[in-house]
Amino acid sequence: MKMGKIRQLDESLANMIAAGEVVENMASVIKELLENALDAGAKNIDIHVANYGLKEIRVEDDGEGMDSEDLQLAFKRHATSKIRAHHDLHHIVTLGFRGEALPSIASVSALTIESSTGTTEGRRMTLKNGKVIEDRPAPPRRGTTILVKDLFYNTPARLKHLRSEQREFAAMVETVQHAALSHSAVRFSMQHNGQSVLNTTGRGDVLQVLHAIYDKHTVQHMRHFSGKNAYFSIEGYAGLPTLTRSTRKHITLVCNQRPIRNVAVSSTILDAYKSYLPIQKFPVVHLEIKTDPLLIDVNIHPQKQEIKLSEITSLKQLMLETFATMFKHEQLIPDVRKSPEPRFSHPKLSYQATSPHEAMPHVVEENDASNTQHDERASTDLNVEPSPKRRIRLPDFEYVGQALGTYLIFQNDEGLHLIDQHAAAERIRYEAYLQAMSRPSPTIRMLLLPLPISLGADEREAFRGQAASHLKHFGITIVEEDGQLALQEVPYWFPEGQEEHYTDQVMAAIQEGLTPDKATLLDKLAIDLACKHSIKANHHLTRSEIDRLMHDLDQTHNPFTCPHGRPVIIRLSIQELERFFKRVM
Amino acid sequence: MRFEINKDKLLYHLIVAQKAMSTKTPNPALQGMRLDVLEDHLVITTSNADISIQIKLEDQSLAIESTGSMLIPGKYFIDIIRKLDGQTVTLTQGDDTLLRIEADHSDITLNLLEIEDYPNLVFTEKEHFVKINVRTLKTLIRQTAFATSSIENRPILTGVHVKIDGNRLAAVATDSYRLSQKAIELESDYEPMQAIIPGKSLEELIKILEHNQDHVEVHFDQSRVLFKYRNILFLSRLLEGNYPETSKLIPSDFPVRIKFNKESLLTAIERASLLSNRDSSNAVVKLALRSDDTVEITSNAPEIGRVLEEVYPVDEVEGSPIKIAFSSRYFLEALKVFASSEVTISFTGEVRPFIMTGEYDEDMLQLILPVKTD
Repeated sequence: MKMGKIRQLDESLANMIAAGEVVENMASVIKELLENALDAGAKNIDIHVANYGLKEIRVEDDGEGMDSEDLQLAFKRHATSKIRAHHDLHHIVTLGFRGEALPSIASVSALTIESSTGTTEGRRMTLKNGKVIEDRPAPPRRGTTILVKDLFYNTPARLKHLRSEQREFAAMVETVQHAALSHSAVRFSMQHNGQSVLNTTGRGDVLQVLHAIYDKHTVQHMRHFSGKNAYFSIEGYAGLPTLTRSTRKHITLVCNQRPIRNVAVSSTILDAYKSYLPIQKFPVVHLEIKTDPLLIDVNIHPQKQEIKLSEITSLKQLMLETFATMFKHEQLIPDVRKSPEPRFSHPKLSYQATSPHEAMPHVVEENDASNTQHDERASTDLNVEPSPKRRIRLPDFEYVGQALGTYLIFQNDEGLHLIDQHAAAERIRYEAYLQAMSRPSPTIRMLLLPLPISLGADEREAFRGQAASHLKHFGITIVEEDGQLALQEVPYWFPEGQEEHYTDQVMAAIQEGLTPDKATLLDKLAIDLACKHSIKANHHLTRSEIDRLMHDLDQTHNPFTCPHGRPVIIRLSIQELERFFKRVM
Repeated sequence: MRFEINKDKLLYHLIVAQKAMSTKTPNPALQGMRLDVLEDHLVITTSNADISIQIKLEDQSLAIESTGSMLIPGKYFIDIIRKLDGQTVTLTQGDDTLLRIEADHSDITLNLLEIEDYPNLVFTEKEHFVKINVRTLKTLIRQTAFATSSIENRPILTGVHVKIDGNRLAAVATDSYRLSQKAIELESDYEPMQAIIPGKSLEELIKILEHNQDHVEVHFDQSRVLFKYRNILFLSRLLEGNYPETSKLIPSDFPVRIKFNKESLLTAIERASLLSNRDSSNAVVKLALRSDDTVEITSNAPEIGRVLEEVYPVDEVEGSPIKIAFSSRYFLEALKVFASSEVTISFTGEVRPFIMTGEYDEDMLQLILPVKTD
């Protein structure tokens, strides 16, 4: 007799399969457990990990806990306290909601859970292979402790596919860090083989969490920002462009207290840093987005990290503006020593919402972190709008000399400043060009004698077609006399003698795609032109050329990096020099 | 070779010769100064790609013991002579490779350059030459050469176009953003001819000419021009090609004419050009004639500030209100070459070239192209 081939999976098998999606590594176990703890309203979460998590992961919280009945249900798949009906899915405010976590983890490990609401006696259950092997009362301590042992013991294939222990562990730490960053009001402590990995105070101070995650240097180079529009409010800390990392892992995004991944948002951050950062370098940024839960869809992946955002354009806009404001008010010389005073004087102080242009909150001795921050905000919060045209200025310094035909050396009471003359010239031209090109109606120079230019056949064709009107837009007018094309009008900013060459470049840029995005075209063109026509390295400069260069550099909006993002100025502080020479140790 | 000479006399001529000495040239011989000691005079020769200078030096302080020729590293030679003490310097060629310089308590030896490497320069004087009063020539150069192009993309525009017809010599220079034109009357009649002389050569020539009533002989050749001034021969290459016909580019009908006091216009525009954040010599300045016949000079640099200057025309204004923008640099450079204290600016239209003329600057006009804004 033949049996039907299709049958209902038994529950433990179904759980193992689900575990494949939800519990793919140790980090995801931690993540699920942390989400449960946070959803339970924990204020203190202790994580103990043994042998990179393979041996043991223990998460202990002081959240609301479960009574015996709830605990029993917790191991049924899709059993959850967090969603009751269909429409709740559109208003997800808790971190977990799918009801998959506990049964999934239990199916691939030996799991012990002890929980109590604190009022009644608690309960302790141990499951192995999804089956309860121990079930007994526990002391009435409010909260839940989950111990996961021998993870993946029964799924050798998965065990085999884990990356190296270090990398798995790094991913776990990162998960805890993200949780701590998104819940700065919860105290996190993480230990590995008895050694402390992360400790946060739970005082609601993101900067303190950042300090716990990164080193002091990093935090000193991060600046607070915030901004708001109709749909979103954003806040966070952004590293100065000098603080670069070679991966984008140090961009953490939090949306409504959920650590998220979103390509559009992170690439917007990179856009904001564009022209400040070298190629293949990434900033350190912590960004928190607050918005109506209706605008986000978190249920697109079992790990709930990928989210979809509605009104993304409005968010991008807000981010770009906020970052631009912040950069504009920042001192961007690498290796800046913090000045003890805020840079602006404030006629009035207020304690209201933080302003995007506040100066650096000082870091941060563990015990007075929150105070310091509070004071900082108070003292730097402006009630008066600073002029939007305010530029960042170069510090005052005196010229010492030119080194290697390439670097200009300056000094002041803070130390030595080295300026890369090519980068400086590039920045100056880039801004001047971009500004000149971006003006809706350019200032135009007329030529008494039209300047003959040579164009290839295809360019001639293009010129007769659409290109002419694009050129006109730039302020370039070409006339044709006896088959010879000649420049009749050029933008005022074209340097004398370079008219033909610049026209060529504009032609080329237009032809490359007749790109509809004028801003991109202009930006690229400005970078190209600035690079090609700026003074190069190994070029001796006279004193007046140097004075001129510095004067012009001081007029730029961002004198600190070239348009490719390389630094223009670096500083060797007196302290560093003294250390080099062992005058101080 | 050995001679002695008054040190200051020598230095004076060395400085003149230095004008044609190359400092940046791959050919080390051109960094040298050729010195030929003849029976009763010295000949100093220098040359670079554009100009060559030859000086015949005769002086009563000159005492020649023996003749000879050598090529001296020019820069060191001049610097040494300049710093020497004493009235007299004695120069001796030790052997083929050394020059000994003795003066007062100094005894200096310089390594010579290889004289065979020096180009053979010919300073041929022609039978027919043009004679021009020094002062007139100086003025002519000063009023035109500045308007040549300093950019090599149209080489012809780096020169001053000189045209002689009868007793009239007309010079024109333009870099195509402005044009300068000046004509002078010569003392006699000449065959019609024309040439394009590099503006840079003329700028050097003008430094050698003194402000007096002497004459300069100008000898034109096919590809070169030789200026003979006292004991100095100044040779420049000419630019080859056809100079554009500029006369038809100069408007002749001017609905608006305003006469200004040159000084007050100059300072007003100088102040207005201070606010350029890029290049204060290249600011865009606007000039507007108001209906009450006052003139408003403005400049606006959004990031820095704005300037408004009121200038009152001298005499009555011809024409109706007009507004025109231009590069302050071209305007100021043109204005500065006027000898007249009052300058008339004549306008054709807001985006048409305008010209400047002055009562005491006969046959001179400065033309400037406006810039288009907004």
